[in-house]
Amino acid sequence: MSAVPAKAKLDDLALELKRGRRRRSIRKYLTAYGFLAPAFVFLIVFLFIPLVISIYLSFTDYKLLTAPNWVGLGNYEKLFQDPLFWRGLRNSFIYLIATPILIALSISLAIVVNRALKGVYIFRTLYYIPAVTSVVAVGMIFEFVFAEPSGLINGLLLSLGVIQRPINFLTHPDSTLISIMLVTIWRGIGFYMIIFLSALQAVPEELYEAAAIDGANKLQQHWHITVPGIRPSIVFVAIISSISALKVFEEIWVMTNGTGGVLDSALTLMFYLYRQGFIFLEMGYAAAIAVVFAVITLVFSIMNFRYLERNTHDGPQQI
Amino acid sequence: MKKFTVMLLVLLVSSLALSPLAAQERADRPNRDLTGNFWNPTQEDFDRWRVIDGVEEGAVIRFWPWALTPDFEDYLNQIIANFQATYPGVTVVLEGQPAAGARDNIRNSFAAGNPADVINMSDGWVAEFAEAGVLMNMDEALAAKYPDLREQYVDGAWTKVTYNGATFHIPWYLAFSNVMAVNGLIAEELGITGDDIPETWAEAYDFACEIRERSGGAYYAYSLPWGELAGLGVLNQFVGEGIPVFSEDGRSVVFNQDPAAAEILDQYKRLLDNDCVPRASLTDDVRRMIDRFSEGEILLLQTGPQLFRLIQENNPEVYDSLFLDQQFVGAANIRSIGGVQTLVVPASTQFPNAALAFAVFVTNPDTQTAFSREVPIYSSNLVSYEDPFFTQGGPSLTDQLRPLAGDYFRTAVNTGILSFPRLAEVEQIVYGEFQAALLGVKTSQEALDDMASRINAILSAQ
Repeated sequence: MSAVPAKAKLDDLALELKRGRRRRSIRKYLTAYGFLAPAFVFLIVFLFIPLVISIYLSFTDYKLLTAPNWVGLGNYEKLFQDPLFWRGLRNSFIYLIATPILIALSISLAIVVNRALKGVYIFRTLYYIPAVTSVVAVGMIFEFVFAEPSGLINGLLLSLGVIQRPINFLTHPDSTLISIMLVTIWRGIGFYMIIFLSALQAVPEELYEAAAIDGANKLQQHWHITVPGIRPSIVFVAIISSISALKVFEEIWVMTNGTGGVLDSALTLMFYLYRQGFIFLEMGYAAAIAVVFAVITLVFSIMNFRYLERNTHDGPQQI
Repeated sequence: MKKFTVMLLVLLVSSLALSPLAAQERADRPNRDLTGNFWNPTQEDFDRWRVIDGVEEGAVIRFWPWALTPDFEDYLNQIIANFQATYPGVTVVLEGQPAAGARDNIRNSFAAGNPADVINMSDGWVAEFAEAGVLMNMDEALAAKYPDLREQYVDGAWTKVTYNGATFHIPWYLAFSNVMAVNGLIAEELGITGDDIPETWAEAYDFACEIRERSGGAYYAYSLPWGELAGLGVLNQFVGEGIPVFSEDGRSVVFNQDPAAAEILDQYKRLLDNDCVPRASLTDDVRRMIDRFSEGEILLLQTGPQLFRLIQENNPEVYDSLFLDQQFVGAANIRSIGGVQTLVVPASTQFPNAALAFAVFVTNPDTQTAFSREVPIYSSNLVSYEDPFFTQGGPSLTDQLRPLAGDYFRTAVNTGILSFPRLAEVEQIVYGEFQAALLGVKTSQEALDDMASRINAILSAQ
């Protein structure tokens, strides 16, 4: 007789436990979602909604001051026949040349300032200053550096008799983009140097000692220990710096006074997007450029990531 | 306590003693009284200034000047107070826009459906808003209803920008572009006097190479703001040389059909190729040209006197040496109207009469003369030039120009080139083709033909 109530009690207890677990589980999920909510709302408002609106606008003739009208694929058809779009795309890809240069220089600089030298912190700080300097200030500095005929470089070289006529840094279509790339490299070195510096400090010192005992010279040590050791950082920097290079805008705007350079020689895709959207007010067309550009950047980033990731998991190599 | 009282007294006495001195030091702002006010209007002034009918009682209007605050905020607040006393019951809210990004802010405010009621725009900005149909037509709202008021404005400034033949702005302050500053230090070094400086562009081309040679490559005669995207400078030059820009019916551009246009571009190319003007002229804007002048690189600077203060800030030594001459003229011997700052009223304003009244008030002769007393800008209202402030000159460089201004603005010609539809695209076309000619990518004639055909494609699409 007494076994039945005992079983019922046990069942009740099990049910109660189950309910308690579910309540705790719900509370746990609610807490997690609560923490996620602000970021999620932020992403919806500032990323997903603008993304959807941009895609919609790319099928319209929206001109900012007047209501949009549906034009179907009209903007995309015009885009692929637009020589300036192709020039912008070409220049954006040319700008990617800055990425390997930036990586090589940043790693070299990081190796130099990774030594326990007196006053090395001052140098680390100095190298980082361009990264925190406003692009307008950087533009003004380089306007002076590249100025003709009496800027820093031209004035110096002319007075030393090295050159007879000033170098046309920003007034010749062949040199404008390269000059602006130099500014980007100058601005970026310090920032990426810090990333590589932290990666370098995580490479075990014993590996270098072992390699030295095995007879490896400094160059071999760097090639076979340092580079594989900091490869995750290289992948990271390669991806973010190449996306930045594709998206370059501010330097071009500042260095060319908003013109895109002589004969549009520094016109990149982002700059062309800005010109169409915010100077010509062709927002629909600019949205089409933005959509195509986003697809290109996405594909490029995936390819970049896949290619570089393939070797990321390897540690330092055998000499 | 005693000590504190003595100190307070000393402070009070010294501040009283210093205040007239401080007022005397305001020679740059001569219309201020000792308390810093511009003027103390009487009821008679308020009655005289009340010229617009049907101003909405209880209206609250927002005013967006750009690049004037905080420097001229007290002037703006004073005129707002005067306006509110002129039209009791109307409130004006001042919302000054910084120079950087002002145009974008204005565009965004229209796109968001929340523009201010009275907006200050540079002349080159007006066309796109007029084209979009979002501005009050001033020919209908003011010129038709108040023809006497319309007559007061400088004609070239009233018609500076039109869309379909109508004006959508009220001109505010103007630039006096008939003046050329000469660097006295360079002139002295090269033994140049005012008589040696050419009067026409035709002479000025050779003069550029002569100065380069005479100075042994140390100085340029002048530089040119070819990097300035806005303003269609080269088309202005064509008008100055008597080359017709538009066809007779105004529906197409024809400047490429006159061989004189290609000759001008050839001359520019010659100057550039022979280093007679700085190669950086290709990318220089007006600001950079002023910097170049301030740095002592060039002898002559063609710009408005309102920008002389930049020279003074950059290099007082050069500023102190300046003397003035007239700008070069072309074969047509015309003086074109320079930059015009305008006031526009959105078509969607809730208080059209109050907004119009305020725009008219800001541009009335008294209010504008008071502004000219603050800073060397020029009134768009011809009645201002009857004021003794303008009829009598003064000792300073900019004071000397004031008596000349009235005549200049009565006769200055509007070249009409800011009335293109899709102006920003036209500017980009002119800029690109002009550079193609100067850099030898195309011949001058090819560049002009391409320029004209691309502009005509825009005109015919309207």
